[in-house]
Amino acid sequence: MPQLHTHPITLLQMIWRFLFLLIFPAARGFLTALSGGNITEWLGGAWKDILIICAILLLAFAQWWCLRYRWESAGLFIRKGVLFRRRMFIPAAKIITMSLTYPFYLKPVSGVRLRVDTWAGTGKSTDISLILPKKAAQGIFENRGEGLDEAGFAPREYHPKGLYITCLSAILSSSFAGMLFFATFVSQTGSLLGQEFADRITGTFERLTRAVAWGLPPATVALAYLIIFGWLYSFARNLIRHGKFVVCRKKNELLIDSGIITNRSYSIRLDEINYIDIRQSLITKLLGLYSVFVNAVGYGKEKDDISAMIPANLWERLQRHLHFLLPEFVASPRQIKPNAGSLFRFILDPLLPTLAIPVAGSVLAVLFPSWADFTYSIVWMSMIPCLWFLTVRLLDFFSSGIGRQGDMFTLRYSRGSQLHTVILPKSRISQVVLRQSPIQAFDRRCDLLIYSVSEKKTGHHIRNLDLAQVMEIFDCNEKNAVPLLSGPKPFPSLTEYLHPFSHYLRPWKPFWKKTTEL
Amino acid sequence: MNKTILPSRALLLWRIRTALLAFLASFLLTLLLSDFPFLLRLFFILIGVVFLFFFCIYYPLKKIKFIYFFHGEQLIVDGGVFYNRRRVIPLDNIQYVTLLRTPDMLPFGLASVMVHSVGTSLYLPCLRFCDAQQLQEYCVRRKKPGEGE
Repeated sequence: MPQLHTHPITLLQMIWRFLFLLIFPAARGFLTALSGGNITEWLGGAWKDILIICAILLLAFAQWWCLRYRWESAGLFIRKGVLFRRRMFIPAAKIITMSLTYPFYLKPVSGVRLRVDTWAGTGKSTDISLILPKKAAQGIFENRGEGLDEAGFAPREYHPKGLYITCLSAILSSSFAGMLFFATFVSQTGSLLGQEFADRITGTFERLTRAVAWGLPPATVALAYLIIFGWLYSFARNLIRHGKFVVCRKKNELLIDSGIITNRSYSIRLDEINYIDIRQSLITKLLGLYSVFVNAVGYGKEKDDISAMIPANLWERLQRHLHFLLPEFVASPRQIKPNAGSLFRFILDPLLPTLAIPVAGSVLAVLFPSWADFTYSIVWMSMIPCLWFLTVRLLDFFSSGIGRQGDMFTLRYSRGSQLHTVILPKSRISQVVLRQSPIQAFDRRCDLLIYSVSEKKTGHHIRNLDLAQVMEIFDCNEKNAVPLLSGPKPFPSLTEYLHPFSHYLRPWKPFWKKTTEL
Repeated sequence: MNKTILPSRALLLWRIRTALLAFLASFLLTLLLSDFPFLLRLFFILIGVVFLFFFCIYYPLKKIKFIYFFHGEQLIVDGGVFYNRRRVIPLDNIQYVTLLRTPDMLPFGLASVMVHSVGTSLYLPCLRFCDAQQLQEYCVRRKKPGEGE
């Protein structure tokens, strides 16, 4: 099979790499002007500039010419480099995720970005990324799919409703991303179209905020609008990204397609899925909706990537769809959960700012009375995320825990503002850490941190569980310690305090009693 | 494999390191702050407190609490100083094991071990050199269940 060239548009990418050479023509012009030279003198040396531009084009072309690829059923072969030649071969069996991206700016020239990811490389960048002609890229994508499929296995397809995609977009949207966009937009407008135009935009925004302030301080209203518009922008982006979402399950492959303006297709090896994550935000919890995300090498890696599998659904429907697409991943009920007395352990983090912010606000209002209105409005606005976080932690307290069914663990916990239900196979556990604070030592409890197999460190944190039960469920209870779940717990001995894991509730005699029933 | 604890010479090495650092810090302070006797005294007290904390509390607790052993198909490491920690690494997921020896470890016959798993790693400090080698051999050369001779 012949080695093929990538799409000629790659030439632009190559030219971009050598654009730094333009510093020489720029420096020449600058020096000519500094030495009092005129346009004639500058034109006299223009051949040097033309030579540099030709060198840029030639270097880019040579790089593109030497970049070749060949796809065969055994894997992907790539050859690149002009002076330092590199040859790479990625076996098809080692490719975990292959994806095709059809950016809108490459559509007129029928260019497609092909990405290949394996266990090798860092968790930040893709192993291989090539821009290929559409037909060739699709051919490679389909050929890999054929290798993972099996005759006799009927593919299963899932098309979510538009309403569920809207819900997912709302869950994934954040005001911060939108605000960042607006800030960049205004600053870049200033540098591209002039300061006057940027001032006009900020002036219009200021007038608009004053007009619709409804008695509130204009600065507060401006901040509120910035947050709302930021969120709406992020929501619109997510909606466009997740439009036309389709999931297809084959024998050993999960195919995911989505996108309206920029289309994306992903092919994930089923036996290389690390875990699935069923997420809920506070709003979706109230609505009873759940979203399913997949964790696999290369999936959801880049900024605009998709990482969802089932956008948003009610629990019964979600279970049905999950069983339809990935019957290997079954959620089990909670077998270990935090005790009733550990409520404070859960709400301490959000409770501190919830109490501290109003106190700090009141103090500031007393110290600076002219700013009191503004201070109180900022306090109210900051209280919203604090109370939000507090509610999430309360919900976490009632739902967190671990379940195990065979070699499949179900971890329920919260991180930030989201509630997670992670279904993780035992073989995908990289490290388990049982962490006991001095206070937890008296109650024989611990926090559990599970690190799953991944290109970068991915942890799951479950709070305040019984030590012996956790040791039992993760098969690290070498002394067969028996959990003591009811009745008063004896005071830990010094040996147990120093070695709580291997001396958990071993029979011992407290100094104030002759015998103790354990 | 039985439970392995840290040798007493690991504690000795940590204490020597602490003493050397405290001496170095005091020497530099004397050089820099000899004209400010109050500040110099204050920093000396601070260094003394920190030195005593590490010498008498931190490192002895670290040494006492540290145990590692194999249980089933897992490497279990108990440790911590004020917090107790049990770290469990499935042996099947261990990619490679590195032995680290700094020059001050050589006369004490000590070596540290870094166990690299997929996405995470685990550090076992100042083991006996023979224990460290044995751990490395066991993790790397063990046969997975079901593998032939």
